[in-house]
Amino acid sequence: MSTPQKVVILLRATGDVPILKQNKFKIDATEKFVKVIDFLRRQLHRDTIFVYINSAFSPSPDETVADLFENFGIDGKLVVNYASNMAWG
Amino acid sequence: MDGTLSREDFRSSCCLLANLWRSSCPNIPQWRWHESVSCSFTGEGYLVLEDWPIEAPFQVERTQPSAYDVSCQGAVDEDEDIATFCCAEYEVHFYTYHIIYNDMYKVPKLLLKGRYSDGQPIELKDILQLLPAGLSNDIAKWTFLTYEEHPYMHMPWLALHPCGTSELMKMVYCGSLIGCQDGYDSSTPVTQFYILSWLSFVSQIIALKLPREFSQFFEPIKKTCAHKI
Repeated sequence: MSTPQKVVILLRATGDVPILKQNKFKIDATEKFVKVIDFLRRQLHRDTIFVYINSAFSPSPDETVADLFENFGIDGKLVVNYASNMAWG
Repeated sequence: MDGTLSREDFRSSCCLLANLWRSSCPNIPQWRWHESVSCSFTGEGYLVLEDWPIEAPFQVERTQPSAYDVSCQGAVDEDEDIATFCCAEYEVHFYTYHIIYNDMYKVPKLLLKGRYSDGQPIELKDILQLLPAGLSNDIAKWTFLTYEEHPYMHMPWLALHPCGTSELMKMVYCGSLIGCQDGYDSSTPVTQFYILSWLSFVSQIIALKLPREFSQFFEPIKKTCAHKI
C-alpha cells in the first residue's frame, strides 16, 4: 500500500474517555505521531492519555504517521484508540 | 482476555520479544531470557536488557546516594567554575531492565536501575527528571515507581508497580474497560504479543526509546485486528 500525502486518522474512544465531536481528521504523512497525541491532549484537556493502534501497541511519539499507516493502515485509514485516567499505581 | 497472563505465556511472550528484537535489530543491546536456577519451578526466569543507552541532559550536580561520602563537598565547590566551561549538553546514561512475572497480579512487572557512564548509580530523583514532561509533573501518579527488593537478585531495584497492568492490557485488547464483546476470540494468538504490547506502553513511561523496527513486530497480528474496524 503506497502512503498518500495526507493520512486519514480515525479516533476511537476507549473506556470512559469523552468521545470527540471531530473523530476524523487528515494529517500530513510526514508528521510525527506526537502531533496526534498532542491533538488529543488539547482536545481532552488531559496530560496523561494512552494512545494506541490496532488494539496492539502504543507507537513511539517519534514515529512518522507514514510509517504507521504503511504498517497498520486499513481501508485508507489509520485507526487510533485513545483512553485516559488509567492508573499505573 | 482479562488482561492477565499465565507464567507459561509470559515466558513464550518474552521469548518472542527477544527473538524478534534479535532478528530485526542485531546491533543494539539484546533482550535475553535469564533462567532462574534457584527456583523450584523449571522454566522460571525473567527477561533482561542490559546497559541500554539513554541520552540525558548533562547534569552538573547529581543527587548523591544517602550513603555517599560528602566530605569532599568543599573541593567540589571550589571547582564550580569548571562546569561553566563544559559544553556538553547531553550525556549518556545506561539502564538495565528486567521484566519479571508477578504471581500476585499475574502480569509482567518492570524492574530497572540506571547508572552514569562512570558507574555511579542514578538516584530515583534524577530518573524522574528524564520522564516525559507531561507525566513527570504529575508527581502523585509517579509514586508507583519505588525501590523494591528484586525477587531473584535480592537487591533494591526500582519497580513499576503492576496493579494497573491488567486493566490497561484488557483495555488494549478488548477495546473496553468493561467487556470483551468485540475483542479477540480465543483463537487469536494475542498472548504471544502481550509483552510486546505492554512494553510499547511502559517504554514511554520510563523513557526507553524503542527501535524504529519495533512497530513492525506487530505485523503478524494486523490481520487479526482488521475484523474489528
